[in-house]
Amino acid sequence: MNDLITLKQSRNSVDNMIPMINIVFLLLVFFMIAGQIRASNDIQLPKANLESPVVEKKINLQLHDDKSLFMNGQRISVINLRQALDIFIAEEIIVSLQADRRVKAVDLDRVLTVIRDKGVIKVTLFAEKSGQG
Amino acid sequence: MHSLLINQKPKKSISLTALVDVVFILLFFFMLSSSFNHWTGIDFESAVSSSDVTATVKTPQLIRLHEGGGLTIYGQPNSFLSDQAISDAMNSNAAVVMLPEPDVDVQLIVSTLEHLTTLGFNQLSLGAVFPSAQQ
Repeated sequence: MNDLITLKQSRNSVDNMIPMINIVFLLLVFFMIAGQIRASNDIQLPKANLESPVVEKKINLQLHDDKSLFMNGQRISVINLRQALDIFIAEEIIVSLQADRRVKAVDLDRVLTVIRDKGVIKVTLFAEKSGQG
Repeated sequence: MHSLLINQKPKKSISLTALVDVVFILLFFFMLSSSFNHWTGIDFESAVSSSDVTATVKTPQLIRLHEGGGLTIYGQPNSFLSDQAISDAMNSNAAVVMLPEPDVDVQLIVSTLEHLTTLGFNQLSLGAVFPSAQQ
């Protein structure tokens, strides 16, 4: 008799868990599909209302508010950028540039000058869709 | 038949607790690492090549972006242009190079490039900061 009660209680607890597991699975599927996994960075991209979505190119430059520059996740100085671009430039002529919205034009220009000197034809300046983040 | 039944191992069901643990770990991972911000961007020709893309006008049109957000045509008196004046004064089929002042921030540059795109200028480029462009 006692065994029967224990079995019934165990079944009840399992039955109660099933809706919770369903919800957790739904949440999991939602985050897996709707979210994008990205390395976190401190850059506050400028806001824009543009519709065109962009993706990172093979050469991805990040210019932070403190004027630090990163190329494909590696910190680099503007002087070394010149040499670093030589490796890529033969095969890739599009550069994606993520500059913090507070960066001044004079600092952005230091990077763009190197890009221009290296003959890069197209630059994609990244922004964040307005109304987000 | 009889031997088959004997050899069959009893079915082991997956423990629900272990399954829930794994699912929770996955859920937390995706919740914490997912980003819902969508990137957009402005493609512009590098100023070095913008003169090559120009079809109708050989020299690109230079426009100066002031710190307060006003636009003036390079080499013309410093009166800020309205949208209509920009459209009238410049050829939208030719390359436009924007020269920002040194203290203009990236947000203003992006907003202005975006605004010029809505005015119909498609061959946009970002040039050097204004004082050095003048030298």
